[in-house]
Amino acid sequence: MDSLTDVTALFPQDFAGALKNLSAATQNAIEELRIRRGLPILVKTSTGEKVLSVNRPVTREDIDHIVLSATGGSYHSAAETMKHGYITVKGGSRIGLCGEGAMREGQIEALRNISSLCIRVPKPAIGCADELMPCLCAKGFQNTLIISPPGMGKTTLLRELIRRLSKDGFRIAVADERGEIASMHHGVPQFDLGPHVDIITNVTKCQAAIMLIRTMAPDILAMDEITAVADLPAILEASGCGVGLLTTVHGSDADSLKQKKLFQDLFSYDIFQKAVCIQKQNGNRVYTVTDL
Amino acid sequence: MLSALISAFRIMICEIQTNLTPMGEIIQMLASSNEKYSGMFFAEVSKQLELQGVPYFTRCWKTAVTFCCSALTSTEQEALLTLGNVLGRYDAAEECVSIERCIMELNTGYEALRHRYQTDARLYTGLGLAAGCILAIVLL
Repeated sequence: MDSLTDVTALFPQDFAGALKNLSAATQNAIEELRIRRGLPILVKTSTGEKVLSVNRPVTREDIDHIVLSATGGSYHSAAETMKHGYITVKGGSRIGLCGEGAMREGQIEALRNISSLCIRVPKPAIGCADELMPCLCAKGFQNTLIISPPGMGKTTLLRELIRRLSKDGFRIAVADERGEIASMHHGVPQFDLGPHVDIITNVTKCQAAIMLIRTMAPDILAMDEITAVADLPAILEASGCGVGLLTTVHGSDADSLKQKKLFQDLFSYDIFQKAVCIQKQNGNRVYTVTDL
Repeated sequence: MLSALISAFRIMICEIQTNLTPMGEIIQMLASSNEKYSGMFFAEVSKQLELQGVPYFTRCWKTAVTFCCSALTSTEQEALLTLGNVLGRYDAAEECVSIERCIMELNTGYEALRHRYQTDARLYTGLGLAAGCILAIVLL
């Protein structure tokens, strides 16, 4: 509920009121809020989508209000992540942005006339990794990939695994490029990640990983969303130093990843031993552990 | 007050340039400084932000200028209000340029004030000396 409270505070009064008036069950089940200019706000829960009952569509001013609130009234602090299409807000929610890109020399300079927002409301799922722990730590921690399509709870599972491993005494270094794993606010993680965690946030995975490995002597390096060749050096550096790896990737299963050049390269190093695939069955998430 | 505001704005530039510190945090930091006049101004901005919310930063800033800066000239107040329209809305470089511009405006006023004080000080010293001499002559 805390993340939703923080999210609600971003909205203009009438929308915030409508969110607060939702039943407790709906509030607890909210996964995403879809805000599009000229349209009503859509609330996505685990069981489907519903329209937020406010008697007017979203205006440009509403979107500006939400974005300004989300940046803490400081465009300069969020400018870099906004260029990449997102803002991370207090409580760990991520706001995805769409609008007109202002390009300069092939690079995104800014995103203006923002037309739609997707607010993902994270929820800690305490205990969701309990059954996985014996499989992943049977012979000490084994390097693990968490695989699933977007929106299935990769980051949630990653966070819970970090918490469990940290509680078990492993020193975990978190390269939290997008600020979604720990959701640091004023230097304090907004999620419980256990007692042995060191976090670098808002720095590219590669840079953060190298800094963490060299300075914090971690047992395990945790990262979210391996998506680019630029992420490989961090993995190789960690592996070369004997540091364990726990990361997430987009995909349906390990076989689907092997179709992609990036993962063919990654798998050729034989770094990862385990894959956890997340699937939904009857609205519930099911975790399957496979050997790589 | 002018020199206190100028110092505070220099700190603001450093925070934006070096740490990309969010405006809310900078305002809080400056509000809790020991500097009486600028501290009072930023405390008012901070209070207004809490009351109205960050999307209304410009309005909060304007209220603080109205409440706390009545001793400043209209030009100086105008410079502060112009700055309030920019803070929080643009990237670090653009914001720093605007703060520098405001500092220049305030500095012009500060220098003029300082010059006037110096001139006045000389005038009053001269007048004092002259009055002393006249009094001495009368008494003799």
